[in-house]
Amino acid sequence: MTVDTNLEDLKTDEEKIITFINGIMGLEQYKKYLLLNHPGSDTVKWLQALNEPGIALPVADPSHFYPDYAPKISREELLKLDITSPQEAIVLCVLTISKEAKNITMNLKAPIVINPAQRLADQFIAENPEYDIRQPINITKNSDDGRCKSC
Amino acid sequence: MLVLTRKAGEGIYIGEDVLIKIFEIEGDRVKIGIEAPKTTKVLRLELYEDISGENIKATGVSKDVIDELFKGL
Repeated sequence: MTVDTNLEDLKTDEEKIITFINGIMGLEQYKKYLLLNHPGSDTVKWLQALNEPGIALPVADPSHFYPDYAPKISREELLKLDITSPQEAIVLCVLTISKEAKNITMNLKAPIVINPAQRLADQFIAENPEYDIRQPINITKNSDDGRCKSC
Repeated sequence: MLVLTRKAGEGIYIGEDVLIKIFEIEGDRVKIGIEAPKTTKVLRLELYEDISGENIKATGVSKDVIDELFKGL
């Protein structure tokens, strides 16, 4: 089964809490998050752990950088979030930035899947062998909206 | 950590619904069969550690860096 990424469907209401049924890998002690917009960016959002200012992960809609992104996640996994149709799901990937090199990578291997109606989420492993935990993303190329640079 | 010695063909039950069976031992490789409910997450340790490490690293990304890199995006 593949999952579409349709971030537009998720209203980033700051009052609404998303519950991770297993926590985010490595951060299992935190189960409740808010999805916050990054001011000035339509691409980047933050998964902010509730009442834990130091725990926030930058995430982005993977289809913005990889339009064909279609993680294979089993029906059983999706059912844990009460997702019966992949179209209901919202998929985000964690961004990592190395401070020195300013290399930005995206974790396509372990997408975060959200059921927006019930605000349940989990981090799954995509079965696709071609997806990398550290997939480089090219922001300059994708920032080109077709308009003239000097406009 | 509980450490057990097992031979090929033997197994271990964890709780009531997780069964681990040793299929084959060849040199330094062990072939393991796992029977678990579909709701139980089964992950290779190195994959879990790799993903955990990336997630923890991501919590160290500052908002300023994102500002700079994703300006106007």
